Amino acid sequence: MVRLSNRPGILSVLALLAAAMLLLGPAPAQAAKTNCGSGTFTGHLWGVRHNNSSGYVSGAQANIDLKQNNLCNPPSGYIAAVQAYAELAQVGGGGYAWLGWQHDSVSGSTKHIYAQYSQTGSAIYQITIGTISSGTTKKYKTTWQNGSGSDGFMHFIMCNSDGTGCVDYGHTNFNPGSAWSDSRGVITGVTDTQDADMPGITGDRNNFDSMLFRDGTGAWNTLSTSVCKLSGGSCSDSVSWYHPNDVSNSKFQLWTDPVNR
Amino acid sequence: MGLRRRIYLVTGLLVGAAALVISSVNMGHAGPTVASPAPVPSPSAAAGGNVEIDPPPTGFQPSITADQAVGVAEQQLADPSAVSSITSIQPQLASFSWDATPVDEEGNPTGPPIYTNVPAWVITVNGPCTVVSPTLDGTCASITESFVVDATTGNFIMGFVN
Repeated sequence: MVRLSNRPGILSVLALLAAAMLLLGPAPAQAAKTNCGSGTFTGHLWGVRHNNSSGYVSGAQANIDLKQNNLCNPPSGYIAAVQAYAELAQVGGGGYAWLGWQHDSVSGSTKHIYAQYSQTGSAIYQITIGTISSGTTKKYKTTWQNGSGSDGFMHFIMCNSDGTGCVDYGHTNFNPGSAWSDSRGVITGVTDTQDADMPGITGDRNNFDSMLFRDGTGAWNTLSTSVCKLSGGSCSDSVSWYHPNDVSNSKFQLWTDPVNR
Repeated sequence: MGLRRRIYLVTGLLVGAAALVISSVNMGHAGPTVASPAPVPSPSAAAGGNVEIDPPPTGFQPSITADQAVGVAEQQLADPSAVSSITSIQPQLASFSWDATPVDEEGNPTGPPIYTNVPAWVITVNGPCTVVSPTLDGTCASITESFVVDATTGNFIMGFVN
């Protein structure tokens, strides 16, 4: 955060830049609205949900971009947020564990990498792993029952997109095998208000690539069928300016149209 | 609108915005109560067992002051609306350990944990507005969040809730 009181020349420079921008005409259309409508806050999720008909899903991983995702200015008492993550979630309950990135109006222009989990959906734990810059791609992996995950906890592993430089940043404090009756894998992009962007814009789509899921104690696998979109298992969302695109069984893209609504 | 009026308008808006930012963002200097720095009195676990916070080494003198560490923590909370809900800040000097460990792609350890008994400031902030919620309804929830800052280098290490 720049302390403006310590930067006496900044205001003058900013004023000159703003005046120049006015003279040059309007800025290119941004995808997000300037202000979030007070009635627009509800979850919008696009991505892949994988269930295992014969038992627990024990891992979800993908290389996920961080592309442009503009926020609208929220009204008092609200937060505009955009996320993208790999998750293991409780089937039939509110429990979850995910690793990914988040951009929100609390942190301004700073985007964070979080691991977040809850056994039931009520008491929530969060680890702030660090910050991440736009244009960066990381491999996010939430895994259970392999490697260091064999301790019974779900683990949060992040690597470079080529699989090098992996670090296990932590684990849940519960074993889903005893706390949950079933689990599914989820790889998704999210926003909590329809006036903010889904990850990605028309000219710079957000890729979710190299998707793999793991069932039980088996191997990591690509889905054998074409991916389906959230939410609720249906392949639709009422917000017409959010777009998904299936590239293959292991890759999809998300983006938001420029604001024109 | 003429060019001169546009420039006056933009300049006025920027000065006003800057005044608002200066008056409300510097949480280490105005608004919430900042407790006197103190060493962690006894060992404790946090972040669901991923973090261990112990008393600092005897006689350790941090290169970074508590006020500087609070400044690093506040960089994680840039929005004045988040900062304005903070009720108190507690800087504590500690010996910090985190389970974060280098692994291969399958999760098998390839080295020791990255942070073991690192002298650090643990800045516990009560009341910031956050989006820590599974409901995705945009509601601002006030929570207690801690930020860990290396007491020697001033680098932000990590943060945790619960």
